[in-house]
Amino acid sequence: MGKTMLPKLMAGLGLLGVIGAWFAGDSARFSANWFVWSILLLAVALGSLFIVALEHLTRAQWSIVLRRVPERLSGLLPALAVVFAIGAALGLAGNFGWSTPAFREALATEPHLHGKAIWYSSPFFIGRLVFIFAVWLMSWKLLAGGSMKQDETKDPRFSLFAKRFSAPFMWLFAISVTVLTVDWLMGMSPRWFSTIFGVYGFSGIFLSGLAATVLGILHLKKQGRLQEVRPDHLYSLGGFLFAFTVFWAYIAFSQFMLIWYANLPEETFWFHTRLTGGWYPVTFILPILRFIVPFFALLSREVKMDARRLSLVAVLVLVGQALDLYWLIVPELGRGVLFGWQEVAFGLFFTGLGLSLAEARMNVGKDLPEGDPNLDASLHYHL
Amino acid sequence: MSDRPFLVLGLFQDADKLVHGIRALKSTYGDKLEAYTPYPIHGIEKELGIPKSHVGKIVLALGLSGLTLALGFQSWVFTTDYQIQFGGKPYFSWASFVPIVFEVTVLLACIVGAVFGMLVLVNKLPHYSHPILSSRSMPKITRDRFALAVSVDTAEDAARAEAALRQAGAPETEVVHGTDEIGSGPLLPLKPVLATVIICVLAGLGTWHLQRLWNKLPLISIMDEQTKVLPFRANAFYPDGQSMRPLVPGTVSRSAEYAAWTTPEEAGQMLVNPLSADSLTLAKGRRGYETHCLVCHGQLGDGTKLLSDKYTGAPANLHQARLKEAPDGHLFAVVTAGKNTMAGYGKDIPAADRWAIVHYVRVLQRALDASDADVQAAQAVAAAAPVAQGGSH
Amino acid sequence: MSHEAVLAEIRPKPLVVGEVSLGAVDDAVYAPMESKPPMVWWVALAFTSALMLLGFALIGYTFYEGIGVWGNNDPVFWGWDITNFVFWVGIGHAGTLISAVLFLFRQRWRNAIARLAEAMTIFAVMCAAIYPAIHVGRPWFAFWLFPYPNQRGMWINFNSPLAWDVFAVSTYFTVSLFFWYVGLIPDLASARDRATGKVQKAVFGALSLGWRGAARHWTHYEKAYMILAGLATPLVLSVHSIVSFDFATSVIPGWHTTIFPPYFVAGAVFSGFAMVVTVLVFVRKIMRLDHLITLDHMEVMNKVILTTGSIVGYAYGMEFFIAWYGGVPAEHYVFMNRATGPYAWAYWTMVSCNVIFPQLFWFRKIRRSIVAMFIISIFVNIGMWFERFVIIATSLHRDYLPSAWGYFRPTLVDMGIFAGTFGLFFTMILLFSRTLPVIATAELKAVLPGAQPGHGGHHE
Repeated sequence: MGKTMLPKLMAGLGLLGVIGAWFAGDSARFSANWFVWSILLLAVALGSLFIVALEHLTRAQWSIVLRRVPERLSGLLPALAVVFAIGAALGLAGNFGWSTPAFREALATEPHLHGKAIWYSSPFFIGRLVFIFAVWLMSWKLLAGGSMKQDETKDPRFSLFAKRFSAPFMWLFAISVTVLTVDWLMGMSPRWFSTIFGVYGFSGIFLSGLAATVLGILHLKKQGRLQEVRPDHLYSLGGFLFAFTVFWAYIAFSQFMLIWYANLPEETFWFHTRLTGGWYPVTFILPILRFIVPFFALLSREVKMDARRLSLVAVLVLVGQALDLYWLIVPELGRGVLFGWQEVAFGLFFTGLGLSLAEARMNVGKDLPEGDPNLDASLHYHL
Repeated sequence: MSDRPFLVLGLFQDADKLVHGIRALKSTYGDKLEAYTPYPIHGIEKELGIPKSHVGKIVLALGLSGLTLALGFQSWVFTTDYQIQFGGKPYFSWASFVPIVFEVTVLLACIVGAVFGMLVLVNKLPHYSHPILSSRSMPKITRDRFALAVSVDTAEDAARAEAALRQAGAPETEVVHGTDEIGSGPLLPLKPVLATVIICVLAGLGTWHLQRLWNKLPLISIMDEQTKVLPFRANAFYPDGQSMRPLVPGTVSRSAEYAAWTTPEEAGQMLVNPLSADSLTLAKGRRGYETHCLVCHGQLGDGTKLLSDKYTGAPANLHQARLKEAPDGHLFAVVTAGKNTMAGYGKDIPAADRWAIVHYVRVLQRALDASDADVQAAQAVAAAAPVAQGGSH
Repeated sequence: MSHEAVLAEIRPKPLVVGEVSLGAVDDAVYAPMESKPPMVWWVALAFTSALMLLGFALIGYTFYEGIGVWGNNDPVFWGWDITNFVFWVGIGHAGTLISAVLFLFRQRWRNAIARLAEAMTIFAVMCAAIYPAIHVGRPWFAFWLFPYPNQRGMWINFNSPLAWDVFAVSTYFTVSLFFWYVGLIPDLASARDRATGKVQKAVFGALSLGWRGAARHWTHYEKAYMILAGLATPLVLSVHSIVSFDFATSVIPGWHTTIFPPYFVAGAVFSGFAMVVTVLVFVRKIMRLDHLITLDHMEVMNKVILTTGSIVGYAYGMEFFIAWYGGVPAEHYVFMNRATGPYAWAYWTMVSCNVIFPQLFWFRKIRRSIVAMFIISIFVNIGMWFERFVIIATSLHRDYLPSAWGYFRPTLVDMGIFAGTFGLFFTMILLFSRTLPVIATAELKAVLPGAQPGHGGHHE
């Protein structure tokens, strides 16, 4: 009982701090924190949705048994749409890089910013934000909602539909994730650009989805549910976590190395901010936390097969994702490393909020996608 | 090869029957069981009690050594052995070492660790003398039969094992004779290996001699002969038959000095020594003097030449009053343009060095006039700052 | 659609057509090695080896005259040599992807095509490796590329992407070769035991290292194979990433862009799969292996082509978007010049072959039509060649200095050497198809129905 109350307690305590931070008047810091944490939760939800679609697309059988967990986690999306809407209502986006008065003025006066003047014009910006959320919510409704309905109807036509829908979904997902990362992460530093950035964002999103799925499975297993998920399934899930940890490192290294090597001033200033002053240690810790530790932890077969130890790595991956987002957004305020009671309050509030929502989602529908005609093969999956 | 019974094979029709066979014989024969199959059968290692493979550890060790080797080597080369500046980047540019570090890590882990480690270290292959290879059953095993093998020592053992295998459901059995000691047959087929080695050596020697010829082949010019103009060569292309072109009239060298003076006296009026007489300048002046002036004007500048007496010219004594009083510009002009039989050194000695020589001549002039007090003062300075003196030497 | 039809659609497809016994797999796969080649094989071999010899002769001519006989000029210093190098290395990526990545993802359909795809990798990397060696101008000094202690007192520049390339391509070739060989060992043992001729028995016997299929050996073998697959996967990503670094570390507009590494990898897989489809269309028919390399396998490969083609399309779009968004004038110009400048014909060939035509694979009928997939795979091959050509030629021919702009035209020697590499590639494939098993029989047998104990039931 105490355990289930904990997230709500965290959220409540955090909320007090968040309200305090709002009245403390540092609105730039407030909005940076707001978006670090809301994008983290968004990454969990989107990553989960991607796992579901990927399973349908490749007709992977081993993961059917655990599919309900990412399906439920992608149900955070409506709540996150609300979180984004509250952010907009509070006028938080007004503190973003592309909306600062200095940059707005530059857009009007500097001719080479012509493209950005169009890209960051308000109707276009709001239009595509609404569009990407519409895409996600619709896909969630179709994939996760349909799957829950299939439990009752046992209609195999849904599986066929999901498989067919997942192919164009990949295109929509690629475009929407690129828009999300360009607007809400790269846009924090609106003069900077990097073509790989959408892929970078995707790697973090997929990792977050995988890590949250691992934690969801452990949560259910602790309650004596979802015993059908055996070490064989966990091993494969851990393999994905391992592979995409390496993938993240590959993408991050490529981006850093190419910009460092070519040494062009229009690109290097972004890394220069992060490699000087107080940000240097943060930049140093990030690859250790996001790559080196999970890499060596997941090398071992035993860790991948053990729900407890695997979920420790999953927590690490999510902490890494939070740090990554912090590292992407906060340095652009130009005020050095910001870490104080406000950051703690935001961390408490959003972690608590995310956990409470996820916990509630874990009781939606049945634990197994019983209507899936291939569920049997998944139950008998062996390495 | 001995005729001792070595293995008894029972051939099963499919993997399920093999597993049943193993379960039936496991309690009796234990570690003496081995299965021979056309492809890996999952779970069979548990049935046979085969421990987990430690190939992974070999690979990890090799991978880590590859990582250390490549990172260490590149760092050593660029920070210690062969420092080159490259694109303004530091000598230890870890980011551009990463690709090679990765490749070498993978290379060692794969080839030495996984391939060599698995085949040679763990599986003890190649092994051409194992008796089963010449058995009747081998072609069936690599095709579609699943053999359960019992190690035996004697004919009675073999008979008992055969019976047990038949009882466990093997429709077909075979007793394989021989022994498995490594060294009982050649590890490698000797003749082909020897032939390969000889061919390799001959090919190597042949290539060595060929490549010595290579540069001499008329086909390969290695850029010795090129259709370009080389200095000091005849060249039929130009009317005067020379490769070098005369300078355009009025050409001025980039390093040419502009001289406004015509006589040393005039120069003495116009020029001021641009250098200060510090120890570096004096060292440079001394070097210049000893290289160019000393043979005629002497070690002390007193005109006692080192040349043979056959040279009848009389170099000037630099200590004469006229030259002591002459301004620096005067001496500079004489060094530059020459005087009487002395040639001008303007073309050979850069202007700054000539000014340094003038300073040194002044030192010589002063030194010959030194009093005892001067010598004591100089000794005191030398004692206080031995380094400065050493530096000027 | 009936209930059964829907179920058939979403259930996994059988890995072989009809009932195939273990022995029948061997009989089908080893048949070409045990019979005399048909006339058509000899004709094909004569054609491809003539092409190969033409290429070698022209390489000899290049050595004799110097690389001035190629179309390379100032400012296009990299012409067909590097274009073809990247093209062939790219082709070489499908093999390792199929054998390693799909192995890790437990895509069992790969077992039937992995061997041939791996062989293609090795042959394609051989073709690719020719170009760096001959384009250095004085190929007899190509060994200077390697770091060895020498009397010149110099080391190679480890900071140079070209040195990374040497390590990446040679590592990739070595690892692919050994990965292929390790997979071959059990099949070589089968070939040894089937062989009737004395020479074949000796050769297969020596090469199979005395493999006897012991369970203890299989345990370590499978572990090592899994590890090799695990290491080959990042390796295959690294190779084309490093090839892309050759371009992306520079400051040439159109070359320096951060998406190059994953974009090149996707493009490599794309072109490699297209080449595998091109070759398999013939191999499965001529060698009568269409019950083992089924139409379902071909369909999955076409889906991979569609996927990777779409990733490549995303990268094209992202490059254009950032050129517009970033607002760097030189970058902006290069991309406009690609689409509308003197090489617009090449650019639009590339876009239509790589992005537009593969979209036809959205239709199931086209995915399952041998003729259609053959034509589209050829288009993809052409398109991916043009992609490398567009990247190299359009970025170089007009860079920062308008006074130094130029235009690249290939010479007959360029074309002849390129044709020669195709000759080499297909000659090797033809020789391979008659001398070694083109399907990994041990792997395929292991996934046939009933091959594993306790099939169909829970068994622990």
